[in-house]
Amino acid sequence: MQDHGSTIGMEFDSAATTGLAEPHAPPILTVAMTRAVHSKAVASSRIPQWEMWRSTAHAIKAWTVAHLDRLLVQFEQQIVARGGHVLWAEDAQQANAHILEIARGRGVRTVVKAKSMATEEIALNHALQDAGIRSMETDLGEYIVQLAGQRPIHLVGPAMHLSAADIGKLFAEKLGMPYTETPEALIAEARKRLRQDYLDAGMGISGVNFGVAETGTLVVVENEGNGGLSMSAPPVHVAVMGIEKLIPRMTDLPVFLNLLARSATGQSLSTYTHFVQGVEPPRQLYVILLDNGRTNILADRASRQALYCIRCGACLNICPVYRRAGGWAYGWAYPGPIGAVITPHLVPLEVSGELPFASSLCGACQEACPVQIDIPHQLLHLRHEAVTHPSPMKSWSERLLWRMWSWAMRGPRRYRLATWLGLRLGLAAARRSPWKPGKPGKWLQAWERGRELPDVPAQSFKSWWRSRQS
Amino acid sequence: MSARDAILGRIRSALAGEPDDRSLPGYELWPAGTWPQPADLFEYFCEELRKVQGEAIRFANLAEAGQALARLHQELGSPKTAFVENPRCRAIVSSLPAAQVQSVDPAMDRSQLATIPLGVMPAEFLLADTGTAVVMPRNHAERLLCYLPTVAVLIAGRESLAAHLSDVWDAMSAHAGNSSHRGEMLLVTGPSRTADIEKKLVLGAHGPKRLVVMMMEEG
Repeated sequence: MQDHGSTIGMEFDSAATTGLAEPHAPPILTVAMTRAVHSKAVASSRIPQWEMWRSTAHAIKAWTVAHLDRLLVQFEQQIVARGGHVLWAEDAQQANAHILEIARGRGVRTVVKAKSMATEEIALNHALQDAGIRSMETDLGEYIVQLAGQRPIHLVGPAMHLSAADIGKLFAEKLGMPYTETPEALIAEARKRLRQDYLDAGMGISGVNFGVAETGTLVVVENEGNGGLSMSAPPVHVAVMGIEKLIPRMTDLPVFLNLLARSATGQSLSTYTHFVQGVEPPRQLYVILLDNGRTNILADRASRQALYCIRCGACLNICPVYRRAGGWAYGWAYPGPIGAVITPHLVPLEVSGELPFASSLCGACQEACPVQIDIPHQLLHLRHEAVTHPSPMKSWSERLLWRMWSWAMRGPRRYRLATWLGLRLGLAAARRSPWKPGKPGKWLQAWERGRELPDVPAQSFKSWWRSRQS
Repeated sequence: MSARDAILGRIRSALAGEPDDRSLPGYELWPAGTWPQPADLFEYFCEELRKVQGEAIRFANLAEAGQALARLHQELGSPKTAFVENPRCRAIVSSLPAAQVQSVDPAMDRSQLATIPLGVMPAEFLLADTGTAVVMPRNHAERLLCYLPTVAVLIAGRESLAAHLSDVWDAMSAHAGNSSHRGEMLLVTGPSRTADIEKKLVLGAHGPKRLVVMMMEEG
């Protein structure tokens, strides 16, 4: 197995190739995605009011985002009224610093972590490890990729790309257990080890699926029970929450719970839905409210819908590009179509500017999205941004080529001249070095990987047509 | 400037000048005609719970349920059992050998609770459409009892049965809205599970491997 610690900063194309290099990845991912899409289709087809749920959820999120400042203040007051502490973080560094301070203040040596994309985003595990604190991922998929030194490949199924045999080898190597590829035996081993960590840990860290402003309730949804144990077993619970995760009232919640489980896994409801209501002393609760670029999304009205995302993974499962490229190709915490929309706002455009182009704009993601985020138009908007503010990653030759293309397309004469020139140049090139399929020139290598360059014809279609008419 | 002020300031400037004309939508989760009201809600609940690998049994009264719990206890090898103190749970566990049974003391810590393989606790509500139990632990020890035992038994009366989450939402919201209620309430839909290895379903990932719901017609 390869180490896929990070592909950030790599061009999408090379990162996608790295993702595909995992020997089992494509077939396993394809099977997993197909099943996920099928489960969601079955689950939603049983709900005649599915479209009503989607548009309601969209409208609630739109209202939330439009009143975000007020709701955050209300949420903070409610958490404090229930004995919790609220800490604000403008970026990953501040969020990690808060968490390290809490941990150091209590002499925490082991942390148990429930699955959380926000902590993935701030690279919390690295920060904890650098500070000498042992941080254990407890979601089994996350536990597996942490053992393998990899990053999650999917929002919902972090180890979806690994076969049972891969995991058997990994457990034999890292945990010293006899090799087996029986999922039950592998999971029993992980359960046994993590059980001890729940009992020893000085701090539990979770994400938050929804924060209810009206009551200060933290809603966490999961299937394994690791979320419940991570939040409840240690004496301190730290919840890391993106500021967009709010919803206004308890009344607004049921529609999201119903949409989330069906869209993520096809379940009617997830196995556990926790409603954390403050904390009973002497236990402690800290809620970290994380911006980390979210206010940039808010300020860009055309992108604002990206803040409605409930991280169900449905757009990944359906996306033809994600299904081939895998999650690592997107270079950061959030893969797939929604990742291509969110990431360019949260990390510099220089290292993420290619992501909006990693889409065929087929629209399947929008159809699948339970909160009706118009992902294709968001991608188009970001493409426009990337073109009008070209990143250093775009080469001068590519820019020159597009400028020439744009010139040629502005009139029939220019177009004729361009095709005439193109034909002559193509023929001259072909005469100089006869085309050898499979041995493309260096500059065509990337393009040729998935296609075959046709022979340059001796005459254009137009001149052939003219000669046929005469 | 504090991080709080900086973030709120950025939000306010991003939203500045936008008309506040949208209203927060109300909605009916299950409008009339979208869910066929079954003749027997409990049967429906059982079917849904079975779909998620849970078990549900209906009993005429507490005595019958007690006998069933005694059989389950024996089948599991007579393990240590902890129960949440309430009249129904106490009546049902009275059928087990007294030496094996203890009520959950709020002072019990995680290590003590982790040694108990069988937990018996009340369900506040049962939701037929999803096979879900609503549990409202009163303290931290009761909360851990939901996750630590290998087998969880949930006890409910007929009055707990509801068609949907919407039907019990007012009660749950009121509980959440009361700031003197601290800790956690939860929805449990089947035993703990994972499909993280090749999408194969395995039960008991971290929490209970078996979830048994016992519903009493009377008592």
